[in-house]
Amino acid sequence: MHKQEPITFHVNGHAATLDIAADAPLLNVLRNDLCLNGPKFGCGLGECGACTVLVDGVAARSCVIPLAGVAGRNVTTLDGLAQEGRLDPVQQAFIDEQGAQCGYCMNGMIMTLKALLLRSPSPTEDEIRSELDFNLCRCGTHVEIMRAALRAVELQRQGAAQ
Amino acid sequence: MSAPLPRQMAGPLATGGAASLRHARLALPPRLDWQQSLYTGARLQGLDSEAALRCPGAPQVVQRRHLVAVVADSDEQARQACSQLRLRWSDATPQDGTPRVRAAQTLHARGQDSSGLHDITMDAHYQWRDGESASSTLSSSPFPATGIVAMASPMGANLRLDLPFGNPALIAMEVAALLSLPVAQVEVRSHRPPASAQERSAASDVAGVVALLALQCGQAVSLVLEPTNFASSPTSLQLHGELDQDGRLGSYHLHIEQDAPPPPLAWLLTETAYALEDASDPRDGAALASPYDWQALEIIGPQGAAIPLAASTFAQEIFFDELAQRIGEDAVQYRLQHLPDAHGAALVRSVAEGAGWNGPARQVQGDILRGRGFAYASTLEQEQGQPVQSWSAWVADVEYDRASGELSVTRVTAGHDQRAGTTAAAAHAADDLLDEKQRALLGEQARLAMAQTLAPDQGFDAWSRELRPLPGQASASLPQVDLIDGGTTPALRDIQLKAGGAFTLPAAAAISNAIHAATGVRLREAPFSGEQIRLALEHQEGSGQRPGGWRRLRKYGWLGVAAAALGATLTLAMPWRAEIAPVARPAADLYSAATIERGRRVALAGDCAVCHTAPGGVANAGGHALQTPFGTVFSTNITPDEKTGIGNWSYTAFERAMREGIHRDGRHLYPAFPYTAFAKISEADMQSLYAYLMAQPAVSSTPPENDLRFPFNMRPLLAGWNLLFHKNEVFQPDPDRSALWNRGAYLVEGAGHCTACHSPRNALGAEQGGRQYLGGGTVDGWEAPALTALSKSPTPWTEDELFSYLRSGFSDRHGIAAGPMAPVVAELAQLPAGDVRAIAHYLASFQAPTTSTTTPAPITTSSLNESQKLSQANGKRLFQGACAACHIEGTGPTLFGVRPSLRVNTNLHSDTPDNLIHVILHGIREPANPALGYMPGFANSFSDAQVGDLLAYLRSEFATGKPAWEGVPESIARSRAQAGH
Repeated sequence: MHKQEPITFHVNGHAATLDIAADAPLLNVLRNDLCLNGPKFGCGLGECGACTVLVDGVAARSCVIPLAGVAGRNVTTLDGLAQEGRLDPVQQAFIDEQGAQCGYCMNGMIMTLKALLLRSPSPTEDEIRSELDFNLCRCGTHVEIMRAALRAVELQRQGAAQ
Repeated sequence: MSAPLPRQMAGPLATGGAASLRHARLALPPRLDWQQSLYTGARLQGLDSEAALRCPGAPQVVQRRHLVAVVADSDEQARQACSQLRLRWSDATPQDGTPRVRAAQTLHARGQDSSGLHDITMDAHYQWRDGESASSTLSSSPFPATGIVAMASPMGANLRLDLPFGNPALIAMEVAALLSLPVAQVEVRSHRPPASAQERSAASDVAGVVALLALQCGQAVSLVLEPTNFASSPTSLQLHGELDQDGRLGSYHLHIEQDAPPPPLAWLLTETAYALEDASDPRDGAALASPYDWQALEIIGPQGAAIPLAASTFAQEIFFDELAQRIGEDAVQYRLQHLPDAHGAALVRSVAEGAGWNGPARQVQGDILRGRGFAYASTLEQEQGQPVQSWSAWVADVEYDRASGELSVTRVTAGHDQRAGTTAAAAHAADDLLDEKQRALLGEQARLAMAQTLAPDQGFDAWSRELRPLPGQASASLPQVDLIDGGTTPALRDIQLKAGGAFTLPAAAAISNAIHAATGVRLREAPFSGEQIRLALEHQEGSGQRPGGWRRLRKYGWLGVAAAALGATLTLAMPWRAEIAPVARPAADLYSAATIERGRRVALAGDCAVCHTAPGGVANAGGHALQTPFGTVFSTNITPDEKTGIGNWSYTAFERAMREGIHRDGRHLYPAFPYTAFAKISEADMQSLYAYLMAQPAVSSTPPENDLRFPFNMRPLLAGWNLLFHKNEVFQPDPDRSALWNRGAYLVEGAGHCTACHSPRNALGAEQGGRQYLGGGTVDGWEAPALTALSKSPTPWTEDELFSYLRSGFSDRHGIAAGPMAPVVAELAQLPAGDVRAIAHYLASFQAPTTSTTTPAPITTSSLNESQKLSQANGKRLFQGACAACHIEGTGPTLFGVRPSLRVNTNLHSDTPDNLIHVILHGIREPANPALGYMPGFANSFSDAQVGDLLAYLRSEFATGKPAWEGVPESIARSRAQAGH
């Protein structure tokens, strides 16, 4: 890789310009350099989903994307999901339904579901299952997570109707 | 690495920003054209957006009249969806006979009009299409190849626009008028003012469209607009001249019609009336006037349009030639009789003398018609605050081949002179002659001017104009230019050299006059081509083609080739070659921006930087290790550093290295450097490449020594290799194939050197041809698949699939560009789309029309032994855990990047598992394009046995019917030993 320029991208709506090695994993940059600790380090190989963020509104596993991969793009982390002090419907739903046990997978569950709702506002239960299929949870909280997901759809629908 | 960021940065970053930004792409009509402010380009007749709307990124199609755009979550998604739109465009509105109404005014007049009182009257009509406006911006500030990005955000009742450059007040007014908003509600922020007329119009183009889209979507929208190619309407010139019987000049009228510049794109495409006045400076009428002593002269032209001087010179100098011919006078003598300007007359004399002018010099030799023409121009312009008068005179010799229809300029004698205002001429000093560098620059300007006049672009080495205007479409047949020095003062000459000035103004007329001398055909529309002459001659003679001529020409052609081949053989077989003396590095400003830009494209097509850049090193400084069966070769430093690079290489030395594989010092270069392909590069491209490389920053860097086994470390042996395997010949187009096919063939076989990886090599490392041409090879441990009918791909490649793959690095029916192909695609992405299309077109011509592959009997599970079954079952579990999130079929999450289907992936169907193993172990860390996404490498988390199990499963699951791979453990070991690409 050639001598590089600083890399600029948008994080949670704000521009960030960083002079960091272009191949540094996005997850490390978010957590270590930008102090955004929503995304978690799980497997480091894109298998478990704990590090999920949104890149241009699409779910992305930030442990396998280097910083160069998001140059000029919009990254949204769990930390930036709340708008004007109000939790996102997906966040609210996981609290309402007690979707967390140890909570380590929670970031990935919420962000993956958020990405799904961005592209399809009222998914079926099957679509939700398929979307969350590769977000791993070790505590066995799957039932609560599914309930939270369905509630998120409902909350978002109500929010849109208002 | 920068200092750690202060912790408080987490504050603002942790809160959500404004409403999310959407990205737009515009689907432009195939032809844009306008008259006055009316759109006359292709009209939208049908729009089917069904396929586009199924694309990812929640695409939304916006259409207003002929403006069609797709808005999606990311730029790639918008571009992808945009490419899925099915649009039906009408061909253009034909010239439907509605008269054009223009406001005309007298731009200049002198003398007492005495129309109708003379014995001889002549009328003629000329047309000029201006190529100059495009080239003039090239040196100032070229557009970024990727286009201009602008953003529009609705903020309550207001609309905010962010532009890279532009005049905010003007754009706010334009946008307000377009969208019927009060001006106060449009806020425009631009990074800097526009640097050229082209930038000014580009800013208006992008602003109007993005504003319209943002308003339509009610959301912030970002738009990337690539530079548009308007089909400019020509300048039309009507001339009327009157003479008395003795040839004295009487009344003269020049009527010029020229359209105003086009209204901005959004207005044009939505057919909205554009009412704002254009602010460009009208040309002073006197500058357009004929230099000859007409008794009365009148110039009528449009208001407010900048009429190109080249157009008026073109028309008036041909007209004068026609007058001279009409009364039987010599073109130069007649001019001298009527040129009141003594200085100009002196220049005309010295150029005519220098050229040995002796009339039109018509010569017929078989099918070859020869002739010469003359033209003159003088102008008075303001340069850097002072009036500068310049004179220029040209004699052009042309040759037209009736058999092939080819037109070439064989010789040009040109002279120019320039003075400040009316001050007396400075004394001619001995050191006042043109120096080498100035001669080279003037010669290049002259060739560029001729290339613009001669016709457009059908040559195999013509680069398309899509990215940036590229005026240097010089064809190889352009001549050397003899310069006659007029005795300019040096300071002024520098201005002249930079500005271009009047020097090239007479070029087009001189060529047209020469064509008339040679063929009797008057070309009154520029640019012209051999085709125009052929049609006119056929019209004159009323006879068809003459096949006899062809045959004769072919025969001579063969003799020439045979002689050349003999010469080449003798030179190539010499084991020791002479050193070519080092020279000083050419000055940075020796070559024009156009030449350097052309060279940049040749370098991109040739992927120079891919091999000549070490991992993590500086571009082109060498040191990249190439593994060959004979040992390791390290690429050299090709930056213009005089000690460690090629800074002291003359063009002759560079060309010898490129075509013959000989170092400047006479050493043979190893054919790991594909001079066998580069020999096919045309002369013009080769020179541009040299210009480009020499214009790059010099880097001092010495690559490691090669590590080759005996006897391969004996360089003189390569003389014999060259004799056996190297043909030093420039690419010859196949006349039976299309221009597109030939262009593709030129790029694939020449600069692109595709065969270097994609053709198999023999035991001595030479590429195999014939049926094995592009039949697949290996490089750096990667398999380079066959590009012909020998392809193992489960679905045949089409031209469109190839185009998409080469342009974006991904084809959803074949897979992703990885390994050594990824940087190649990254370089191709910077080439004009037309050239990538040509490559795709050429390669597609090798695909078997139908797939009649003999499929072996499917391997059924029952024929597997227990350990194979176990291996596949283990592999399946590994796949579920490690791969399925991105590669599962049908279900699963939508994740950033593409989701390559393994079922159609060529690598799973190949005879060897090497590419698949590389990707599994090392991942894809530097994709051809970041939008494709990334893949982690599993070298540190899978054991060899696990990789083997995974391969067994992948092969049986996704390449149904193909036998299991053999030698898998050895392949895995080889790949582990090798760093990822």
